[in-house]
Amino acid sequence: MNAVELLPISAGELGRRIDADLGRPSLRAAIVSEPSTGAVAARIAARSRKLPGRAVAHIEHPHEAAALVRLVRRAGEGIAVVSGIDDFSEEEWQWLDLLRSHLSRSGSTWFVLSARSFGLLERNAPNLASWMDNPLTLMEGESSNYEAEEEAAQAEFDRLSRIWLDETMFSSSLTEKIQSSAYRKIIAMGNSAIGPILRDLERKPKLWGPALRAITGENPVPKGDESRISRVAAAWLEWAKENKYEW
Amino acid sequence: MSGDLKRSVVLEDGFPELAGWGYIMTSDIDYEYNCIAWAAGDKTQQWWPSEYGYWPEGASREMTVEAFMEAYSTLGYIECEDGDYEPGYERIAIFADDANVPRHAAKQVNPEHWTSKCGDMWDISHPLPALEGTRYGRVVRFMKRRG
Repeated sequence: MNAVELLPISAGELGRRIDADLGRPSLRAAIVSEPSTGAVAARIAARSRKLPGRAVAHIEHPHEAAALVRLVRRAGEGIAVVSGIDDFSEEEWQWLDLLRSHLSRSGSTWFVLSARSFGLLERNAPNLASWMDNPLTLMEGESSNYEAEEEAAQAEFDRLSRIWLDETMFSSSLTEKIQSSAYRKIIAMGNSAIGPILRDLERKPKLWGPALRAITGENPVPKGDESRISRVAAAWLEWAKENKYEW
Repeated sequence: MSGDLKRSVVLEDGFPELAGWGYIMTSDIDYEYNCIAWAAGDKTQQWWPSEYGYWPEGASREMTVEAFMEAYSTLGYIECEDGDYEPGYERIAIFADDANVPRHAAKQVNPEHWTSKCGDMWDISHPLPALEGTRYGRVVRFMKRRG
């Protein structure tokens, strides 16, 4: 019997948990079929990189418990995603249990494990297992939903931005453009709009600074440049690179 | 401007009154500046009295015709009676809707033509009344300065 509750979830729900974890300490395990631990970990890391203000470290195949702890601590306040520890021996898990206090930090840590490894963790590192917040079981066949979600977000952004341009293309009023219903709906898309906006900024800069500011709460545009579309675009693209976004 | 496109069905769809007037497009689409900036001779930024637009220091950040006149007065423009062509002077026209909210500005080119940036779209050369209508309202003020 499992010592902790296992919740089956979809990839979409997993993404929302990642978003919710931002900025608070947490220790989580996502349990997936053994061949896909690396791929799922890469997706969690990619999703995390789209969140503002946090560095993300994907720690693959640490050869021993001490190395794992060292690499997680090196992630500082950022997000650490650990995978490739399915060959850890019982002894290595016991070492990890003893070293568990060193995993405590202000950033969130994700262990992506096979069911077999999670069983080893529960048996040999029971204290560490008890620290974990509701280990999650990723539902079979759902891992490709990340790409599907991104495609859906791009399609929705394309649809709304076309409406926005159609409705405001002859207007010089920045107020009218920002208050348009389609523009507000793009802001309401939240983090999922960031990638499509960055792609559009790179292609043909438009008035996306206010939307990015509303979504992220950040403002990387130097004072005096707010009215200059190209400089606003350059500032946001630089910000996105610094915050490890991929688009 | 690329190609030799002189008229646009998109423009004429947006400004039904424009089709009956002689006008030509004089630029490509450009999101960098708007009509208020274009009339001020600035192609580098968006002029608007909001936090995301440039607005000259000393001009009120308000959506009123008076505030727009204050903005242009920082460039040396003063109010004048009409849009008649006067050699040695540059003129601008400010458009406003029925509620007297500024909607557009155009700059005089020669006795027959003015130049306008139509929102995010093209610059056009046109007779002044060609852009009067439901979208930009009507001309409510003229200003001039020595050119």
